[in-house]
Amino acid sequence: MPLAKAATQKEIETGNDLVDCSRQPMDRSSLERWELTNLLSAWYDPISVLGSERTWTTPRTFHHLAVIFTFQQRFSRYLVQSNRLKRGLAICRIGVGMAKVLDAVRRKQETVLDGWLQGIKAGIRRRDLIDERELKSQAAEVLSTLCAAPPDTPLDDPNIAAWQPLRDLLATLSASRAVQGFTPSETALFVLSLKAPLFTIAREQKGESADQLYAEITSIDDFIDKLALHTTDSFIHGRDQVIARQQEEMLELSTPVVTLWDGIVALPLIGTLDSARTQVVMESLLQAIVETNSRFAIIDITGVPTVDTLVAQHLLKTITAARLMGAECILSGIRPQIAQTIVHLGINLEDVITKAKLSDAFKLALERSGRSVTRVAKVNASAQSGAREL
Amino acid sequence: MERIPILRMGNFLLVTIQVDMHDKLALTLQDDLTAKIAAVGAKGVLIDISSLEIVDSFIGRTLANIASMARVLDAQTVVVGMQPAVAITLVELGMSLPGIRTALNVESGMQYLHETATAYGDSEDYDGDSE
Repeated sequence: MPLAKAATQKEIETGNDLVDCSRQPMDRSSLERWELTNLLSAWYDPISVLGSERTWTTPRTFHHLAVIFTFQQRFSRYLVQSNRLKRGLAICRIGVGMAKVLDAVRRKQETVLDGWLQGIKAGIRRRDLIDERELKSQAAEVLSTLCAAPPDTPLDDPNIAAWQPLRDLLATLSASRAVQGFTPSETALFVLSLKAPLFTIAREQKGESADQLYAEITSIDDFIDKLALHTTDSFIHGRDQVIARQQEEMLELSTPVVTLWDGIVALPLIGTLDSARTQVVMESLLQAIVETNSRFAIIDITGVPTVDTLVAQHLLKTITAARLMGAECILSGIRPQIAQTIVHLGINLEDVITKAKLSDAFKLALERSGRSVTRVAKVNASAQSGAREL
Repeated sequence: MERIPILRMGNFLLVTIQVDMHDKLALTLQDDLTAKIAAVGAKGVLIDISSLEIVDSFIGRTLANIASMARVLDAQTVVVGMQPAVAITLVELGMSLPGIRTALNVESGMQYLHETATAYGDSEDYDGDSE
């Protein structure tokens, strides 16, 4: 047996054991040796390692496979456990470290604030948007809110209730930034600039190993990044609200109903008509007809770039609705190209009174309501002569 | 049974719809109105729907029918005071009510009826004088 053992050992070392394995039973130590040499490669790809050993008898191959798989199981269990352990340790470290840093920040609030403000000023490109004093008061408010959190608050998740005041404050700030016209990066930099002074504080703490420092800096970094993301989200939300409000205002502004004369209203349309806008146009025109008690409504489409079947249909609906209410609609401002398009599309505007110009439509409306416009030349002349005499 | 009152003003009939119209009420109105036009020999019918806020296709068609029947009975029909929402609804339902004469309020509706009646009345007077 010692001979055989020596032989197998030697063969393992030289890699010639494969032929022998089929003939001689492998003893325990050689098996272990084999395991050690092949385990790493077998760990990744057991089939290719074992499959290459063609001379092996089947039971032994199974044995080896069993050994490898048991090892794999144990090793993965170990990995899981150690991961849990590591994570637990990391959480402990973050908790302790952050509490320390927060304590230090509480003590050195002024220093942190100065460092932060310097960072913010370096990041902001347009200084005219915000007053320096205001910036300082905002930063101080954020810092005091940060310090106001309970001492043992974990930093790994800013979404917990303890950080709610800080998140609310940052949301309000970034929404106001959106209104003021800051860029998203400037708004994010406002928060990100807090990193440098916090790192300095972490480094200044005595009696810490490199590992602890690393853990602290990582957790601070993570926390500030999450806050910055939250700030950017709030910024974009604020800007979305601004855009929505402006769109609404534009929709209202784009359909002004003007009273031309007692009982004659006009609606000058400018821009492309989509269904949402047409609805607003129709409603505001009909409302104006009711309010001003107008018998005539002039829709002027000089500013409408294109008239397709959909737009024409919308216009016809509006005209019909106005007619149902007892008002007469006149369509004006039809450009030659649009007249051609209307005819080519086969849109029937026979029942609608159409005029080329707004003035023609106005004249018609005046005539139908029993009025006429006459030039009062004499009065003008006398007024001018009177002015000359004076 | 619920009925919509029909008022007589000289040669004209005045109908003011103050309640929500349901189908039976609309049909009753149609019967009553045609009977009254024939009985009185009215020259004009004015239907005020300024209080009507909900309208469906049946009511729209009934209004159109009443106008057509009145025209057969030699009376002009004016529908006055339609709300914007009602007008939009009717247009979206595809009912443009081409046969119905409309006016903004009772005043302008009455004015229109007077104008048409005066035109007819004048010719009748003229005919009467010549005879």
